[in-house]
Amino acid sequence: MFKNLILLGFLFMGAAAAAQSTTAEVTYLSCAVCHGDGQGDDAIPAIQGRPHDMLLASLSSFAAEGGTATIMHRFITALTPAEMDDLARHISGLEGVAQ
Amino acid sequence: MTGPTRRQTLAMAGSAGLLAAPALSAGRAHVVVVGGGFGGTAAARTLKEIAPDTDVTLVVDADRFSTCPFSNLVLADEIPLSRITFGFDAVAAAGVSVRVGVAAEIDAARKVVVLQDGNEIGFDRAIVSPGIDLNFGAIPGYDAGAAQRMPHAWKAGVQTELLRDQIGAMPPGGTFVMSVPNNPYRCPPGPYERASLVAHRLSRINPTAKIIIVDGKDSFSKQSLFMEGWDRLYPGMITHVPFAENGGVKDVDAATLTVEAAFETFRGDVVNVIPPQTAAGVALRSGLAGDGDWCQIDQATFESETAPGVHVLGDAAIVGDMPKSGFSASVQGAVCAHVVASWLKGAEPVSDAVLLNTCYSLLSPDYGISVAGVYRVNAEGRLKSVRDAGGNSPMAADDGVRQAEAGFALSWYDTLTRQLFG
Ligand SMILES: Cc1cc2nc3c(=O)[nH]c(=O)nc-3n(C[C@H](O)[C@H](O)[C@H](O)COP(=O)(O)OP(=O)(O)OC[C@H]3O[C@@H](n4cnc5c(N)ncnc54)[C@H](O)[C@@H]3O)c2cc1C
Repeated sequence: MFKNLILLGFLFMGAAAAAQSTTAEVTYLSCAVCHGDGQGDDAIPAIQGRPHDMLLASLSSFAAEGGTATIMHRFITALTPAEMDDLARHISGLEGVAQ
Repeated sequence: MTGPTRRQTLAMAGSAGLLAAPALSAGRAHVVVVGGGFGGTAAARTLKEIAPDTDVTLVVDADRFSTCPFSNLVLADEIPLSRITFGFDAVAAAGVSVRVGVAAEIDAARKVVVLQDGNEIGFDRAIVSPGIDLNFGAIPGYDAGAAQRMPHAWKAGVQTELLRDQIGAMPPGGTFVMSVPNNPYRCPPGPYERASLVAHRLSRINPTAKIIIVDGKDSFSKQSLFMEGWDRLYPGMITHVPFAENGGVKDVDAATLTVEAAFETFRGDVVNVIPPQTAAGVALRSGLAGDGDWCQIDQATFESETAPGVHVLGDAAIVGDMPKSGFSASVQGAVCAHVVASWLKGAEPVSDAVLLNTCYSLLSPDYGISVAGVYRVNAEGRLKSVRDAGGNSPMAADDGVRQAEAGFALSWYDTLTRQLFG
């Protein structure tokens, strides 16, 4: 009930008001430090808006194969398959040059 | 540009109490962010982006900010200070009210930030990321005056240029002495990156010069990777004297450029004293650190343990296992903005997300190494390192790997500073 009232409130405010934060969105804040502005003209690629399948495949391959030249494989071992899937879905929904 | 007056703030707080959701009250919620560095700027911009109906004021103590990250490249004379100096025009253009002024105190009881000029800015919530202060007085003989002769260069700006110029003027075959504190301090690998990049410069302009690191601890971040790189790039130039061998710095003398440790006296031609540090003065004055040197917070929400409604992050706070880095402060600022936005809406903040940190260090402009960490809030509310994740660059890697990491470091820096200040 309370939640509905809040939602109603936002509708009234005609809002640009964002929906409630999700876990994937908050996790992505750390990704954004390096991948964030989607310019992708640097050594670190832009990822925003890439297809979900492609993102999930590269996250999974970092987890499976490891590697020495990037730090991604050091991060990805911390995520469960479900978290990787959610994160990939969130990133694929972002606007970006990689679209 | 000014925030609500005290009366308006009180009125807002009153109606907020009634509705239990300030964002829905007639007045707009007002969040004041103190400190326009990594944590504060990330918090202010993220909050304005995700909660555009919230008024966000960013209090900055100067109209420009020079980053400590990449300041060691300025010491190496590879880039000018202007390359790492940013203004706040883009922050203001994004809808954040940028207020130039020094915060004298954060008064949690009255919900106001008191500026040094006597003005007060009322807030519903405050986010405080003022960084560090150098603990002058921790080392006898080292005060603000001595820092003109023996620069710390641990806040980027004039101190960086002073040290850069001293290195350039060092006599042939001279000695660069660096005094490094025990943990915790800003940027654990920073002193060793500095030694590396000073060596890079000296190996060209003054190849018989020596570097001596007088350390307040026995081991340091990425130690084997640094030592491996020093042997390769600058054989014989850098000597690391661990605490066990120097016994701790007892005092320094700016007149004779000496660092007096318990077991040995080190005299340099250029002396870089990096003293112990504390949370910035405004945090201490506002009681945010209690009796200690660093601010204790709820590690899931960054809310102060002593001042409800006030969030503290970045170098000034103890943020679980996360190191004091610009990367960490930026992540914490953005995550804290989500917490604050949720609370202003009356919603529960996300608490099961992952936070990351990477500290790149350059041993030369094209030789990079890194340490990465992954953090999660555990059942006890502590932000802990995730086991079996994170870690260092590999040892004995080929030049291609080191060069790639130097490229990642540059890419990280430019991407992050574009998002904060561009
Ligand atoms: C040599 C060196 C190299 C480094 N390299 C790296 C690196 O490669 N990567 C990395 O991630 N980190 C690096 N760091 C660490 C990084 O600089 C800090 O961790 C980071 O700046 C912390 O962010 P912060 O928001 O806590 O503080 P800051 O970025 O220092 O921002 C705080 C701001 O608040 C201002 N302020 C303080 N008091 C007040 C007041 N009362 N009123 C108004 N404003 C106030 C300060 O002047 C400052 O502008 C390095 C540090 C050093 C010294």
